[in-house]
Amino acid sequence: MNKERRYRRLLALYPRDHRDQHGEEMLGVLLDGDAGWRDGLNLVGGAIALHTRRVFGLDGGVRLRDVMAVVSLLGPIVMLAGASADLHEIAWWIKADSFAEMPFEQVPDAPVWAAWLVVATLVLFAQRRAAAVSAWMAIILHLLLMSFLSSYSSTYTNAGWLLLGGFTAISLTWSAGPARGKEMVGRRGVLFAFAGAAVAALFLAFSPRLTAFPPAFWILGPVLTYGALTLGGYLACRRVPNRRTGRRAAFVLALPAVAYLLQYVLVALVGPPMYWVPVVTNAVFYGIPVLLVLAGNGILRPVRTRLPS
Amino acid sequence: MTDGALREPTFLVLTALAAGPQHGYGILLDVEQISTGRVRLRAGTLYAALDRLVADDWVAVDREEVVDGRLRRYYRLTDQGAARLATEVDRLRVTTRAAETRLRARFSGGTA
Repeated sequence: MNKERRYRRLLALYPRDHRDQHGEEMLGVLLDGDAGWRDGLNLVGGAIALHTRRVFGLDGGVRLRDVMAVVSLLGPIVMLAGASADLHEIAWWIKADSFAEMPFEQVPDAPVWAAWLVVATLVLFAQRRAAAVSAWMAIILHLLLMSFLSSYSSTYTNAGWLLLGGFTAISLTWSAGPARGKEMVGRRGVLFAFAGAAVAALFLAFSPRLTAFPPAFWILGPVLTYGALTLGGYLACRRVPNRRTGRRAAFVLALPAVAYLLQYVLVALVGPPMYWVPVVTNAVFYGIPVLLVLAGNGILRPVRTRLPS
Repeated sequence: MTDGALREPTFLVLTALAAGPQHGYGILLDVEQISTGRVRLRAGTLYAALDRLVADDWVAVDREEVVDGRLRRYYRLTDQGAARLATEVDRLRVTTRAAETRLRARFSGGTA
């Protein structure tokens, strides 16, 4: 393998935009100089360091206001997928021709999802302030239900939805807003998010049918549900001109999937003790995704700027 | 990054650019010369440093040329970068002066 090919392979380890910007230039420097194996090693180290810095948003390049603008537009749409379990339940009672007798306990969080439907509608009709107020009301309602309704299922299963709802409400309140988000993702981006939420809702609705199969298949329900949701958000955010900004927004939209995955992995690793101390459980299930979002959007950057250069 | 001491590679890159715009390979050679052969920057380190310096507005892209079919990008020191380098030079001067004074006193048998 000649020198140029070897260096090109090593340069391929760098993030794409860095390669586009500096790749040919770096190759020129390597070929001009008497580069050896140490330079090769230096390239590998540099690529790893750059990827690490970017994971934690240390080098800037991510526009937080744009991330929030995209989330303010697409967050309410993605949140609609959370209603699928209730919709499935309501459909069952309608099918049984006894909708009027359906106890409220069957769909205790229905008001929350109804509120998010209002938020999504207001966002699509460019009523940002009203949408922000409705989003905060939906979150407060969700928290009240979790705190005071004994029939309502655990706090942990709601972590992803509450977190996404929280970031959406913050984005609606303090970002450039859905109008700016739409400038970046376009109408097609909105459609991708809707499609992801709709397919996810369908998968969730059909998940109970998997119980007819051996338990190994049951995991398919959440995998397909959160997979569809994440894919819809990702495809929508791919339309953001700044790819890194788009990826960060997609990560926020994928919080329901992230929280589920985190819970699944931790419970598999730690087992029942994971639930022994509710304060710790909540801190882990809510804290880690929040930390990942904040770190990904550069909250550690101010720390770096205080360090000697 | 304005408060602490500059790392040596950063200091040397800024010093190299203080003389005028240079391309990547030129900076590498200059840094080696300035440090009398003690510091030899490699491409990965240089471009990581340039990326940070450009992001901090201490260095800017001056112009681009194509030489022998290869892109050459010239970098220049910005006013902000020059000010930061001057601050660092002052800081080093103060500490160097203190070290000199104490060493002189020590070698002449007195105390600083």
